[in-house]
Amino acid sequence: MQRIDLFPTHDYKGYKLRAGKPFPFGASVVGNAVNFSIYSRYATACTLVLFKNHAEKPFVEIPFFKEFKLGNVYSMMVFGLDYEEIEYGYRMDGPYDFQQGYRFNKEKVLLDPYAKLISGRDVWGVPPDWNSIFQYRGRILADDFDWEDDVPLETPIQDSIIYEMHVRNFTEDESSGVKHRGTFAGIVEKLPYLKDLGVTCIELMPIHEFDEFENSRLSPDGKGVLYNVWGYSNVGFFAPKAAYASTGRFGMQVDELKNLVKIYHENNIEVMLDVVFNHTAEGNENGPYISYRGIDNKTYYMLTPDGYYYNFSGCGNTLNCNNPNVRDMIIDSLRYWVTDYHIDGFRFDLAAILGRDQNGAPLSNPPLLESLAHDPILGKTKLIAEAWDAGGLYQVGSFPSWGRWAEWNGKYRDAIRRFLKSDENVLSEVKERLCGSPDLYAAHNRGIKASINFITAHDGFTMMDLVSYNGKHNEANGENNTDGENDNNSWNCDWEGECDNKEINFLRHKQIKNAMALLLVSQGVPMILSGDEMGNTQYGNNNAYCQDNKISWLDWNNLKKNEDIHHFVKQMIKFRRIHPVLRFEYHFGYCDYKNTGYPDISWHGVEAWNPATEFHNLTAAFMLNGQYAVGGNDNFIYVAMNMHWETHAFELPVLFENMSWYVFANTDVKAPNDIAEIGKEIEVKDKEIIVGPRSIMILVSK
Amino acid sequence: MDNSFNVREEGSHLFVELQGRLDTNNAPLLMEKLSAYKGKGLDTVVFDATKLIYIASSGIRTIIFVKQKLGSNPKIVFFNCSDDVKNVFTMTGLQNYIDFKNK
Repeated sequence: MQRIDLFPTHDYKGYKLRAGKPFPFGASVVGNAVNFSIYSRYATACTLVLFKNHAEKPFVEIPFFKEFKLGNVYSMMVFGLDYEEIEYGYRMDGPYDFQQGYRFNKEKVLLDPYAKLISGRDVWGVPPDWNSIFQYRGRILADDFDWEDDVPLETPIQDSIIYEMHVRNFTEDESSGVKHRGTFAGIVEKLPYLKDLGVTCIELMPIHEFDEFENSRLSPDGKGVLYNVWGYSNVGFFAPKAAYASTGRFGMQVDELKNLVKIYHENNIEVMLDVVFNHTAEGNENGPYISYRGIDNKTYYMLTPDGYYYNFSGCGNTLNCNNPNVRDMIIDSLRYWVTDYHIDGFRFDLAAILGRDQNGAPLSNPPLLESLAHDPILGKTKLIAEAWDAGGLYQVGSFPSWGRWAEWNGKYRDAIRRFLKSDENVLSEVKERLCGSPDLYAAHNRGIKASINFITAHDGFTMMDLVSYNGKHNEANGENNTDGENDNNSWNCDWEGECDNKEINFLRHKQIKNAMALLLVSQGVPMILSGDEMGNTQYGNNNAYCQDNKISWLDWNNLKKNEDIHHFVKQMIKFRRIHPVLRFEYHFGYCDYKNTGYPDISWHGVEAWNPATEFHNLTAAFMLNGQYAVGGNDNFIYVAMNMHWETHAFELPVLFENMSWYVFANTDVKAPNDIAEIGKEIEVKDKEIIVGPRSIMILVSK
Repeated sequence: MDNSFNVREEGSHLFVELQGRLDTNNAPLLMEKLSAYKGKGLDTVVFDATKLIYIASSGIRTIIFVKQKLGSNPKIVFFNCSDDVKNVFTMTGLQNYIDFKNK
């Protein structure tokens, strides 16, 4: 059936037009027309500017007629456009009054905030025309895609094992052996690897369009260029980065990313996105006009009473997240990634900003966070907050959650790192962390599942560097090593940096295994930093945001070099996946409330049932009762942790009469005997086990 | 550039010769031409891609349309396709619709 309202009513310079449909915002193909719709509260006039792909000057500029505006929304349909061959932008006219926050400038051509496809940075590292009046251009998308019967997987978060990775760094190095290096297609080529590793979810660092040339400069040794590699700097919230797609040069990044999600879903692996709604790439008052500043500055940004930009992000500006219209844009964006890309979850960068009001003050009931927690489309989407910002608002344990938000548990990271380097004052906190941090999440019944446990992330040292460096070495960033975290709680095992010493390397590998063992037996959701499973190093750089080279790129030769680490991590992941007693949803009762004979969890020391604190608070063990797990018939698991520098005998708790203890893992043993195949654990005939210095042993009952 | 397509029918097989580019300039024309074979019970459509140098998003969609809309779910064969074009299909996940055959 043909619609009766799809014919032109106006003519402008030969272009046939019609009043558009206000929804959806952005550019959409409707029959043989393209519908353009854009919102601005304070603009007084708007012009649609059309270019042929890559052309320097537009081929036509069409003003929105008075009858094309409804409320504060400009919308028009343009007929007969060759929509794959054009790029579009807007000129917005309005007041200019710095102090009042009005910064309209009709000389600027602006990117549509709702652009679903953005060109201008199509191939990584190819310098654009710096003189172009319009750097980041909107393009029009055919958004059909045959998902067949794919839907987001809805894997329960407490059963998830998250793998944090960077699209380009993952396969850009030659050693990756993939055909389409540094791209979404490259990640698809590595599917067998990730499937074999056993992670349930990949978390991609920002994939929204960003400018890799932002802040680009010569490297301090003069031999290379520093780029914005990590991408925490949004140009648009609805478009994937073209240069992350091998087909980006053809404008097909949308299909390529959707294909990645579809294939990963077919293999039961979820895809989560790291999203950056706290600031944009436009910087402060000295920054460029890319989009928001020119479209509706006062709406999009948190401004001081003098018209300057609040900087709670540390990046020049702060997105005005609790302005109702910006809130709508954020919700629209997230919904779009779920409906059109079938994304399973989001990790919100500097999420504390999302809880600040339009003047920057923290809200007790932030409308944006409440909306997201209750949104119907996002109803089963995982929501993870990095619950702090650069303005001092630290909300780990107190992020407004409505029972839906999980948090990056920075306290877990710090406690475990301190324990690993034999800090004598951290054991009682470590116990809380291993139990899913009830001190933080048991209140309001947020549950163990609110705790995203991690020891390493993109910010900070890799796992290998955590055990190889006492201090950061970021000289290559050109900031005199002043950037990056100073308090790393790292320990270099008695030598700074790479070395050939067999003993030191054995200890380093063991410490990595200790860390991974703790991470994967902890209650809560483990997150692994991409590359740690193969002992990847960044040579001591703990803030490699600008290193587009071997410092950041995963070196796949490490798979062979650190085979023991890879094997250990793989087995630990398998172990976690088959034992539901490691994956409670809600916190422990710490007693035998089901009358099974043993409490759900019990703490021990070198003596069973006696969690004493001798040996400098560095020895402890816990036992999980499998009868409390989902299904009620998991094994007992006993974990002995000896972070003391001397060997200790741990007395094993006595099990039911027909049961024995079997050793699954012992980090003090040389590979491959450090960890068993599932089902091939070794029986313990004694009443005690000998746990070596700085070692962990994991036992199962059978 | 010649925007027309040579289409040849042989029993239940259809042969289509592609040249140069397949994009919004000519994809709709191809779609129109192939629509004429709807319901004719074709079991294979062979695209000769020897001279095809570039396929755009709209071109790919036309190919899928052929498979979905001709009514008989025909097999789609791309004959002598360049690696570049084949890569585009693979990376956007659409390669499963197509049988790639070489000389």
